[in-house]
Amino acid sequence: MVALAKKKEWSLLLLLAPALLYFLIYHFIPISGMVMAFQDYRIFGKSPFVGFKHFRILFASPAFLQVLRNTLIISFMKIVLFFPLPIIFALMLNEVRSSILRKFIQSTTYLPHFLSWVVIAGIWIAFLSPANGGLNQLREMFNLAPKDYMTDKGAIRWVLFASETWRSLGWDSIIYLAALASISPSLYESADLDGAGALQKMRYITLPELLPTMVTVFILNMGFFLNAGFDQVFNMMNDSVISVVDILDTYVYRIGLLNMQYSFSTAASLFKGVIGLVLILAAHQGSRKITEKGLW
Amino acid sequence: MKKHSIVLWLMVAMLVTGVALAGAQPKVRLVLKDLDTDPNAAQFIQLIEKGMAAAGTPVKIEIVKVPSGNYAEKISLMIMSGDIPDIIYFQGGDDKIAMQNLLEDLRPYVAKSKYIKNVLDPHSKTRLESYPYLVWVAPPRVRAPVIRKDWFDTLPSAKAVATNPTVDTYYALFKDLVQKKGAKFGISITGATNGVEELDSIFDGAFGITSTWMKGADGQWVYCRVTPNEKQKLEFYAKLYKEGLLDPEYLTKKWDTKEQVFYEGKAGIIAGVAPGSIDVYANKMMKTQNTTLVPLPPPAGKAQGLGPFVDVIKESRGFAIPVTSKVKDAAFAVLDFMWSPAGLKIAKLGIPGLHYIEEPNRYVLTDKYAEWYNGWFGDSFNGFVPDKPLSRPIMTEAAVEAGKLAVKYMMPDKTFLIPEQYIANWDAMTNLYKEYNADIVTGKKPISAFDEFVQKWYSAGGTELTKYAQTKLK
Repeated sequence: MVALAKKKEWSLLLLLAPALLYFLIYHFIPISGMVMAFQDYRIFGKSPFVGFKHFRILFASPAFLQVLRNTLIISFMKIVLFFPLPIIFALMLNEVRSSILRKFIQSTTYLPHFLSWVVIAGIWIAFLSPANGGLNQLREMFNLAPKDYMTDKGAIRWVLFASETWRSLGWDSIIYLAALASISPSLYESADLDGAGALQKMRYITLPELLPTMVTVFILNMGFFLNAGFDQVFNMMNDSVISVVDILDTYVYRIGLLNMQYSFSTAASLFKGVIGLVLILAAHQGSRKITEKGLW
Repeated sequence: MKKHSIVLWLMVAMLVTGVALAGAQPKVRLVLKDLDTDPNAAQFIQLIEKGMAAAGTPVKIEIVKVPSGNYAEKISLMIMSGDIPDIIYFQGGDDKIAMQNLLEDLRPYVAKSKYIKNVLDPHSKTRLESYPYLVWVAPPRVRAPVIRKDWFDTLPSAKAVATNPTVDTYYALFKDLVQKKGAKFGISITGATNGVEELDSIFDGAFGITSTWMKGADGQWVYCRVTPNEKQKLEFYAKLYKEGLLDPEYLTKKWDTKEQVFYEGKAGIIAGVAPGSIDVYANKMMKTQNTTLVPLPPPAGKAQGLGPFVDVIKESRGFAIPVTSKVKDAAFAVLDFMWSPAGLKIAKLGIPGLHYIEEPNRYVLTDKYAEWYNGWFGDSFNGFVPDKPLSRPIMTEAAVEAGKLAVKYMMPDKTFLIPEQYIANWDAMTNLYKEYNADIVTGKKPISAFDEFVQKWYSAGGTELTKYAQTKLK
């Protein structure tokens, strides 16, 4: 019996091997390259060790605080404010009885996820155009003056949030729909016998059953808190809104990649990685205390 | 048996000769933007190899593939990872590689060359002398404004610009384009990628902005974007925007949407790099509106010139040979061959039978010729004298005229490479300028905010950089 179990474990490990190998090659081994953050990297010859020089340059650069602030605000909007939306959407979708309608909604909401940000930026710029964009035509119907959302410092972050929601709402709801499908129907049947209403069933059955998934997703998202979305911001930024949407990734791209300051960009990546790790661990500990659930 | 032995020995001899010949033929690895994905690349390279063999300098050329994405960034990463081709086409990022002493000084190669030294324009020679790591044979990259010919012919204000170009005559033309020709706005620009650079290319000179760093009244060097001239210019741009003469959506316009509004008749004027882009515009305008284009001269004012300022310090793009290459002479021979009569025929006419047909008395350019990029090794046509006449000119008349304007009105720049310690400051200062510029032009901030910008610019590192400029510029 033990031998059979061991054999089964080996076959499972074998199935897991390609994924492990992928993480080893592309995610663990490259960590050694982080040493570049402490060197003045040279293509040939020895790269001299410079300690925390590049971190000092990063933290002392005139744009750093503004860029960090933008990153935190945009990430907060895209991770914390966005977080409940796919859950609500999944719960609503779960209540749709017609399978044809449900599949139609699912397909249309998943579709934007497969579009690149270049295309999405084009769509949103056209949609928000003050001259003939859909939204401004709607404003016109209500006798409101046209507004240029793309160049408005007060609106552009909400444009980022809205376009992110449009792109990811459907796709991110998949995991919650899967979790909803795995809830035992007997729980709902028992609740029906006890005379529970729809809201009570949601409060006492659905949400508690979804909690482990929600916690896991939230904690893992925290690791990406300083990744406010390079592709999106890069494609939707314009000269008028630089000061409110320039994020760490776009900053590092300009200074590090375009100006070939690779050690500097590695230092910025390491900074982001460390903050991400701290946030994951903090969220995990916090969650363990509050909900008794965490990543492990 | 004896017969078999002879055949066998012959085969061995042929094999050995073949190997020896292949060994004598150096292999040159070439990386060139978009060539790896061009459907005609293999034939193009075969023609070059054949031509070089005929010229007595046989080489084997291998095209190095580049991952899709930003070319400059991918090339830098390729080199940093240790994969270094023998000929590298750079479009930015080369200066950082040169700083690590990785690029060969090309001046001795050019001096010894048979063809390249004869086709370099003066601005290219100056650049090579000051930054000897890139060689590029091309006219100055200057933009020229263009208007469609049917509108030019029927608008007196357009003729006024052609004969007496000033800021005022341009302003009158913009107004006429909207009022009399039904254009939505006088001019459109690619603000999403270039800010107001395309407007600057027309108006900088007239407002007295003639180089990146200019000498002030006190004899000190000052950055052109913080001068009173810049303030006057922005005030004029704000007026254009307020009156609907500048595309109200310029900040989100990219090259494709800018061209689209021009061909649709919504924009009266656009500016493009002469002569290459102007040729594209003229051909597309002919297809969509059945009319060609007329390039316009820049307005005269405090000065007169077309931008962007022509960098005389270094090429912004071009070919380099790394010091690590084991076939440097062969690599340069490829570049030199491309400017020989045989090389120019391949580069400028394309693939025989596809892009042109050779007839006994002339070369007939086919419809497919429009798809041939004749600037792979440089946009210049210097030295290109076909041995037979062509069935039609390679470029439209509008493009040729725009090219002449570019040469006549180019403004040589006075600038320097931003040193590594100022890169982060320079980034912050540039963004500060871009944002104030956009806000002032679009009316979000009054023109008085310009003084606030100047103050912030100096605080963000401008003071130190201006001091540095005094030591670098003469």
